[in-house]
Amino acid sequence: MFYDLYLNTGINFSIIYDTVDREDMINGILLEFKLIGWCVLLSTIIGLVGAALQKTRCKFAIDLYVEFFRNTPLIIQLFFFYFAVSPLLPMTLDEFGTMVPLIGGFTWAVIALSLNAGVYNIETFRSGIDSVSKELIDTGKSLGMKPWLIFYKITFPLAFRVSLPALTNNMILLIRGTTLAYVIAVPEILYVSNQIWTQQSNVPEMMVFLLTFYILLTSGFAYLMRKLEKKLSYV
Amino acid sequence: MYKVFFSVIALVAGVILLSDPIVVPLLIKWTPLLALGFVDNILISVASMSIGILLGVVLGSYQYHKNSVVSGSAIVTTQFFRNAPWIVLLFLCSYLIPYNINGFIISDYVKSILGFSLSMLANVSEITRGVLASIPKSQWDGGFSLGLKKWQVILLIILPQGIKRALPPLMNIYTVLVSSTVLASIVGVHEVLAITSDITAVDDHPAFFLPLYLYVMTWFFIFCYPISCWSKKLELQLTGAQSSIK
Repeated sequence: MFYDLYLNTGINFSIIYDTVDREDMINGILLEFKLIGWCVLLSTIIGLVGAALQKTRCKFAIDLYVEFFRNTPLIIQLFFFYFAVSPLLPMTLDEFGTMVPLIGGFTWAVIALSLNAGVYNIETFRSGIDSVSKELIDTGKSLGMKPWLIFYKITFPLAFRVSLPALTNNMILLIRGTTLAYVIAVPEILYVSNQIWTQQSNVPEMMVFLLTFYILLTSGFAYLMRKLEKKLSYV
Repeated sequence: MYKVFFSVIALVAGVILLSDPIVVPLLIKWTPLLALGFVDNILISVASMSIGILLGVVLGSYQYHKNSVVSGSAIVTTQFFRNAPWIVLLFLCSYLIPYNINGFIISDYVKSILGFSLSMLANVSEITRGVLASIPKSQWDGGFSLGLKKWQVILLIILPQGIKRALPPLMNIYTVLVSSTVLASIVGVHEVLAITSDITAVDDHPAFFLPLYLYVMTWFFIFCYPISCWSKKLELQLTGAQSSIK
């Protein structure tokens, strides 16, 4: 059907009728989801740990990390890890016996993106933790709870609910940021699209597809997070 | 704030000085070229910020138009360009705008500016909407009751209050924009990241790459950090002033 459309009108959605393009695109979309999943997980952990550490003596080090990653371009951070740090690590042999870097493009993309998004999550969780009233923590202390237990049982559940809307925002920023993995040749959806439009010269069609994909992805994610927010709220 | 700023610079300087002895002369050799590229980045950011503010304020005001079709399409446009990744918008402009329109040549440079303005326009539109929502309705009514015309109310009453509130988020988004201008290197603009990649091809020492990228990152840090500090300060002043009124 879409091939007929191409023959009749020249509108070329090759990702639907062409088997090779379709397979590439499906792999790209799967990789995109994998990338997003890892980054969401790791950046949340970084955010939590960083926010917890900000209350301790490491505050200054966390400040340095936050301000540096916040005020430098994400793409240079990606380049920094992929082109500058990667060559300093030892090489390993892959299954075919060729020399490959110890950490590949995908992993570097996950690391750089998580470090970058983690910065915003630290700020978000910090304001969430600040919003938990002091009396509750004192109550926990008077019950003889240890600091980590207070954090786990009292501070975190309350702070998480408060910071959830801002967290959604950060995650949408992160999803938009994952496109940048393109620059270090991670074959996610933008990279695949680029290859397809180079072969088929169907830039407008691929653009429509890409933009629709991202709008659906971000709005779908926002919808899920709003559901979570409703589920967690007390009412 | 100064402490963080100088500590970061000291750390980077430490890394550069402690690495291979070839690094420092090479960095000094390439600094003028990198500076040229960085100026390009700043120019692109200033140009697209100006276009973004001019069009974004108009689009943002249309989000409050009486006609629901007009306001609806303004909202949809804003959300669409705000949620699309910058790099996709950049590709959109660089591939779909023809290079030559009746002998009028549109270079990659101009196309990248247009691409950035698209996302800036949406962000500014959203900021404008927020600012307009935060100004109490009584300010408009007060202006009208003094017999002022609509444009006079906007110019004399709403704008002076609005600018004050819009400034911190605008400065924030500007720092994000400056950081994002390096994306222009992907669509063929010869700015600082493209130059950095060229340098890594010319002086191919593995030990040189790490200090080089850190060096370029620090330039962005030096440019962006004071702006974001300033915006934080303005924001604090603003919330302080508002709470004192209450």
